Amino acid sequence: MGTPLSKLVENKPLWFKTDIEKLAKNDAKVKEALKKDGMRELFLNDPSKFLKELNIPLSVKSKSLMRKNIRALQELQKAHYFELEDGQIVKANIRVNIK
Amino acid sequence: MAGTQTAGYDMVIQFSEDFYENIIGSNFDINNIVPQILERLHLDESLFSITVSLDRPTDISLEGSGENPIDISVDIGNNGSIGNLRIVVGAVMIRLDSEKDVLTIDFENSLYYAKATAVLIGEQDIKSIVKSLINPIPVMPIPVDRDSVDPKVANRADFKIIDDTSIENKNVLSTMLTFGGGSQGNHTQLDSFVDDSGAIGLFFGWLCRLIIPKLEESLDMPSNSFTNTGTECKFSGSIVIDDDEDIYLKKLSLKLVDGYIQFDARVSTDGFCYEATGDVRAKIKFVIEDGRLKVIAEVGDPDVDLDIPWYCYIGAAVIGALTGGALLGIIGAVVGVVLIPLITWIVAEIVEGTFDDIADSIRDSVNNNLPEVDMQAYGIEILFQDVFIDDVIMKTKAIIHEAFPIRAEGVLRLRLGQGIDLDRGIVSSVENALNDINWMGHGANKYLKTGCEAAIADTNRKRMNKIMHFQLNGYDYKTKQKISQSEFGRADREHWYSPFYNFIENKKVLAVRTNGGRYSMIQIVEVEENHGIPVENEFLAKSGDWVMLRYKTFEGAIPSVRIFGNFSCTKVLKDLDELSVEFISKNDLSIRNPVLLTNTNALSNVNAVKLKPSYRGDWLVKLENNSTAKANLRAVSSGIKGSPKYLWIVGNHALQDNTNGIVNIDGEDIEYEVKFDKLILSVKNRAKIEVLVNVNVIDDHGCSVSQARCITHDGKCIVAKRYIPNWKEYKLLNKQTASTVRDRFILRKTRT
Repeated sequence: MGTPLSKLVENKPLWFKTDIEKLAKNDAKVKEALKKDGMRELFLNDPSKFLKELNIPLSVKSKSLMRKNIRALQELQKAHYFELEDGQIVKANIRVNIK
Repeated sequence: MAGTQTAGYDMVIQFSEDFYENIIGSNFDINNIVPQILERLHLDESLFSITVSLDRPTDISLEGSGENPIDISVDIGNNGSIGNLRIVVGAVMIRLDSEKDVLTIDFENSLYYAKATAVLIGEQDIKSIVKSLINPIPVMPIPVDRDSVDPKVANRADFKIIDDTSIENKNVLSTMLTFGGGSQGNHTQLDSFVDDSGAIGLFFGWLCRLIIPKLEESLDMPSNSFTNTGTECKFSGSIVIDDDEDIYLKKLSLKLVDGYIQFDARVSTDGFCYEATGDVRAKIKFVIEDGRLKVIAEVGDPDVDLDIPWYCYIGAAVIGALTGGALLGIIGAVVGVVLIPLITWIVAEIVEGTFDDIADSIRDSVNNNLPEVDMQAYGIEILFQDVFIDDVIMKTKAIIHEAFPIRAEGVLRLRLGQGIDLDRGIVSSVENALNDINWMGHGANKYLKTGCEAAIADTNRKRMNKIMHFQLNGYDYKTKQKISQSEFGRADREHWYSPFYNFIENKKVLAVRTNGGRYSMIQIVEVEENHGIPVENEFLAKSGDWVMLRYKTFEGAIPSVRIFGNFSCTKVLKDLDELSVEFISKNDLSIRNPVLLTNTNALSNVNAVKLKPSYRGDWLVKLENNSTAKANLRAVSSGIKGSPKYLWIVGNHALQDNTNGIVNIDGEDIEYEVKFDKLILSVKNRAKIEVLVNVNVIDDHGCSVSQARCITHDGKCIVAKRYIPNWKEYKLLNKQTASTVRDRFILRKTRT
């Protein structure tokens, strides 16, 4: 997987780069927190609150956009349905694993 | 436990005692064996019945090795009233040359016992008589190549008689085949798995040996990418399975589980901020439809794992990445572009195609339609009836087509006051003295009456085509018989007082010994009555009373001969540089999801992505056979006494016995080989030919019978074979428009 942070922030605005670099510094802290009960769910459903609990403050702009976009990421984690040629439906169960 | 039924043999073919009773009875019958033995034993009796047992005899001691005994009992007279002839003979596998193993009932070298009651002739003399009169009976010729490493080609056939000591007494004679790359199983662990007449067991490890090379070649894998444990064929490396979507196949396995084959596949793909892995499991099951084995898959729900680095998730949440359909598209590709089509391809092409190949070779071997193999006095037809999986066991029904000549057969209507001469198939008034049966009486007192000197017996059976000629020897025939209409069924009235009713026929089969000395069978298939309503005109009154009668009369003591056999193409196929494969479309689903079947309605409101359907049909390659067309002809005579001589005439050329050579007819060279009652003709595959073949059979007393037949070959030896497309070809087909596929989709391949 190994997606580098530098790639993630490429051609992005300064406030975004600043926030992501702040996150990168807390990599160990976040990974440790994700191992705790309930924290993974909190991360997936409300990353803004998760980061607040870990005292990792992000810019207001990031928090605002996060609230706006998180629903789309949550949708991704729901089952997806595919209709086969005989009209029957298979349910693809999606598991999002945060590493 | 799964995978144990074939005891490690690649293929096991088992048939019950009935099958061998029919083969032995038919062979004895066509060669007039029992009457000749009775004559030599000075027993003047024509009534006898034959039974065959595969129970190992414990009441007598067997001479010689006593291995694999078949116990044949001939009751002489009505229910053995005169005596009994008992023959115990061994089944052996004769390895004729490097190309054929023939399961044979060997009266010459493996006669363990022969004794008759009611005669003063000793056992050794009876053995000599049996040996002199009964030739070995080849039951099942198996083409083999001793050096074969090809899993499609057998290198050895073995056999075992299984004397089942359980309460079901499922005795069978089992033929076990080992194919290239396999090793012999352990016959001591082999048990009977036949419920009724027959079954064919396929070792899963062998199926893997057949499937693995196809998968490796089709998916561009290096050889030995799969492991084969005997109960599972498994790939667990990593290969690109879809270039367009950059998807890798990480796992593919077919595993034997009780009742089905479990299919598992895993694919994965990765990209910016994600790694996606899709898993799917399907149950592969088999059904028999119209005698053909069909493979179906019950697909489970796929699982898709999306691995995302935490900071990507946050980043995506901030900037809206990973959404907007990108990851949804990846999920769609994993499931819809690869996993589901992969199942369809594996099931419909790889697994079903492999079984089609196997079924073809079983039919070729067991149905004995290989032109290279000596023809026998009967044909065997194998019908697949059911299939269950431990190893893969296909229940089969074996029909023996006997060669005993039929004199007349058909279905006809007998009005009241009419009778039938079964020797000639002629209906006339009951006054005709040649009638064998007559339909007589009136009102509720109608009956079937035997004609002059004709005799009748109840077979206690209802399926006429299952009764063979030799079995007609054993019934208790009686002359001067009247059989009431009530014995052929019952009246089915809606109300007891109603004069109208339907007659429900019981379809019993009666055996008739005709006044011409032949055996015949009759069956009343429909009774029509005028319901006792008085009709002024006597003819009209009778015309409402009739029976529809099915009959079949065999040739009898009157000498006759028939030529059996035809030209057929030998199986060697030309190794073409180019192949043209045509896809023949058909609407046939082999994939389903029973788990969700009941949920479909509940899920009807979900926003399901409609997957593009895969085209269904057969990929066919038409190959021209580049070898010869061969006709294995055999003259089958009846009523001939002693040791007859056979004179074969091809065109105007009289052929000497035990010779071979070439005759030219109409500009075509025809190779011939004559041996007693057999004539083999060979021509080039493209020869269009008509040959008048005549055989004269002359018995010890100088009496002769003859038959002529026109044997033809149309100059075509085109064989349409199923082609198994590789994964890329399968995907290529599915990228075509529906109209292209419907019109004609042709794939041209160059052999490498």
